[in-house]
Amino acid sequence: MKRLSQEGAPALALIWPLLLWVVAFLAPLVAVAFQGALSLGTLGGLLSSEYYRGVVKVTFHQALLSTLVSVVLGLPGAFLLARRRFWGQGLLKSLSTVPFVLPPILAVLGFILVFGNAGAMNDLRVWLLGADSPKWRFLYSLRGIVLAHAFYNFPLTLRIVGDAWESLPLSSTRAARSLGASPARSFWHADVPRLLPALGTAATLTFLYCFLSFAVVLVLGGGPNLSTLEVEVYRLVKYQLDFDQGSALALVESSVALALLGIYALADMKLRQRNLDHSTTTQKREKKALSRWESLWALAYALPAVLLILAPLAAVVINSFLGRATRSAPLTLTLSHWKRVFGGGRTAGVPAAAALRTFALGGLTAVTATATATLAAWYAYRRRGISVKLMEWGLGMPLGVSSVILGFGFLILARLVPPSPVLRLAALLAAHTMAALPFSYRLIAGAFRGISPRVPQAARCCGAGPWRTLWGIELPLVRRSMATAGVFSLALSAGELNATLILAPGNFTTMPMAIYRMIGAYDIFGACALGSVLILLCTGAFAALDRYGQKEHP
Amino acid sequence: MKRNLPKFVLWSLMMLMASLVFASGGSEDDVVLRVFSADSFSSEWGPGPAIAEAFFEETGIQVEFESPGDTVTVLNQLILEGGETRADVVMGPDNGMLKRVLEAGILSPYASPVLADVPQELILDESFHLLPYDFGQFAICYDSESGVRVPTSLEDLTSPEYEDSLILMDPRTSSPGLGFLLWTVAAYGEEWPAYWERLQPSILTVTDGWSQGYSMFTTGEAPLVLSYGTSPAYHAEYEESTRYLAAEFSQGHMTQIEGMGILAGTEHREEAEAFIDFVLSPAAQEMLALYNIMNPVNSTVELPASFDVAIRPSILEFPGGAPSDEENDALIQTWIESFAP
Repeated sequence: MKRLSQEGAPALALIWPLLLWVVAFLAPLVAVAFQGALSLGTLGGLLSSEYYRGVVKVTFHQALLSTLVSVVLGLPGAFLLARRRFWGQGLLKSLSTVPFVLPPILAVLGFILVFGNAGAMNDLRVWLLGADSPKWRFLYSLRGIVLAHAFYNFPLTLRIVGDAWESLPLSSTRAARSLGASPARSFWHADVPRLLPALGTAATLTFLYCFLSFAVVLVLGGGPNLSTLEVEVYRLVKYQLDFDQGSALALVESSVALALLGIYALADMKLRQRNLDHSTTTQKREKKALSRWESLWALAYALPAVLLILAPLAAVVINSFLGRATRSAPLTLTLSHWKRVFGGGRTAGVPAAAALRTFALGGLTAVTATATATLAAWYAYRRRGISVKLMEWGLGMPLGVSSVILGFGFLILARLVPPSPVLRLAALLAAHTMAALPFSYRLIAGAFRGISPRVPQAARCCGAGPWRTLWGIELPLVRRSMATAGVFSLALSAGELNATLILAPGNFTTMPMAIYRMIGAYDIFGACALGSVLILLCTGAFAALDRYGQKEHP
Repeated sequence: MKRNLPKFVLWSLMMLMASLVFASGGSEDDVVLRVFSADSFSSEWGPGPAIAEAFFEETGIQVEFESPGDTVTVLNQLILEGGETRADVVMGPDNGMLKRVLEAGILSPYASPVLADVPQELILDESFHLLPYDFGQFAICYDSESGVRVPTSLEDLTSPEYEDSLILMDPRTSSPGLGFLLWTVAAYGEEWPAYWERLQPSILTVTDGWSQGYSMFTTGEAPLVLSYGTSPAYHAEYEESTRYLAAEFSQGHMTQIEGMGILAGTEHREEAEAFIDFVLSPAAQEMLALYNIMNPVNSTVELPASFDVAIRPSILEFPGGAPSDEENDALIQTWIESFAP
């Protein structure tokens, strides 16, 4: 009986993640598959068209470049956050994740307010070089796309690699140093191999995000000659209702994504096996204060990085306070947009209620996604073999599936869900959880793999059951990653728009919906005010989660 | 106990969140009219709620909106659902989508008596499946404070002084984007791809939707944007500003007429007819002007003063009526290829 529970508990833990995956991911895909007949002929036809080959090329090109820039930009930041101590560290870390939450429409607007042809950077140019100097053109080309993708995605590297860097054990570097290795050698041979898996995770997630990017590419690329596969899927499925060609094209996207996930999983497994840590000490290295020389290069790095991340957010906030009373009156500070949004009138109470709903739903998503990911990661940690590999693939798949296709699946399935608000909201929660799961799983599974298998063996010898070992020993060891997973899940849920529009019951307005609707009704500055609230609340929530993750466990 | 306290707080917080999320529904017992519409129509900032409230006060019939996205998404959902839909009325499909709507056979005709007050040129469907409720003309809006010269025609937009000045929308993803493309096709006939080649230097960027483009315009990124002839009325009505104005072009403007219809399978035919009549009545038409910033179709309605700054240019018809989906796609493909470097 005891043996059965030792073996059976992880399998039992897998039931819930599996159920969720089938309902919230597989079912919508199957629903779309029923709409069209996917044939290899269609696929061949698409790929032999010069036009679609061009689109595939652009999609790859921009995603590769964007990933490279995001990762390179993120690495020094990861080092600074993980190994050095300085004022404002926590705030910077929390703020860096905020772009993830802003609805794309507002994030792109903030970006343009800073880097656009009439943006703050060009104001600076006029001030420095005079009005006659040639315009700085950052956007409306491939460069614009790459910059914006870095703005969105470099927090992935910052956080994922940063977390790994922070949890490097003291033992390895001590061993290396005691064998006479210089700090540089010890870093290269003892630390870098341990950081590589995290780097792989960050790069893979970033690439997939950019690969399936949509609005950023259209708006900041400057024209239809730079557009991605996702735009074409959208065009085929949504405007033509051509499910045959649309799903064929989406299949091209997914194959690339799945192949990449496969390579990544293989490399990850190899790297981590080499790094398996059998020491039972969880003692971490001390964070050092910045030395004078380091402060210099940290400043040289941080200024442009902070500009890239914070300036667009700041631009959104500042815009919510700007007004021009009449035509040709000077620009003044005003609270009128805030009064209009949060005061009385037709929409009184709507924004406040939307904020409450967004955070209630985001909080629930964070809890369910983290719990689900933890169960799955625990299974992967306790079991070996093909079932684990299959599960990892399955959980990565949502990252590689076109959101247009998934949205359409939801649209088809939505009519099967009775119009009861409770069921609708449960479906919405499931959809958000599924969207957050690939992130949460990668983060938490990575942390689990860092635990020596001797830990559960020791616990078993002392008579602890599997659940008790999980709760009492293993969970505290992966808490930092659980908190980061919570941050990303909250961010993804609080920024999600498409599934929310389709699945939410009639009166369930969330903040991204409200922002989108206000801009749709011409109220751009009011939307900036609401966006500012979203920025503020998210920064606070992320800071709280980060603090929880940082707390030393007993 | 001390160790359990944080856990207790966390749990009660979660329960509170859960109850907040799930507490926002109403009872389902009353007979309600289900209106499927674009999100922008039913939104708190759109005309839907005000019209529904006034309709309830007059007739005692409750209206419930369902909006899974923009008009194209709504239409797709109705087509996919076919006869099984729970919708009674749909609002939003425009003259550009008329062929798709009629082909799908999801609507049943209703010749509302109030249509007598609607000018003949705005009756978008002679078979009365899709009835007009408001209309707007695509137009290039300009920022009068930017110092830009007001363009006078489509051809004028290609002038070198407008380099990087114009924000357009992608016809693959936006209905104003498609409207503008059709406008150039209607104006230039076979020669339209050549026009786009001349226009390219003036285009700053092509956005995915109207909202993104218009927000870039109002924050000063470009002095010209594709929008509606009625857009200036918003700024006049709600910001008391005449900074943003619309340019009237000599060759006439492509027009978008938004339509509504009764679903063929409705069980609330009588209520649906009452709703359509109400939307066409002066009371609701005024709300559409104020909250949708579009022209009312009912000619007996007195326009709000803010509409004085809106333009009402002559209507340019697309030769042979709105193109079908296939024809649109062929045009869009040619359009993309005209951008190839």
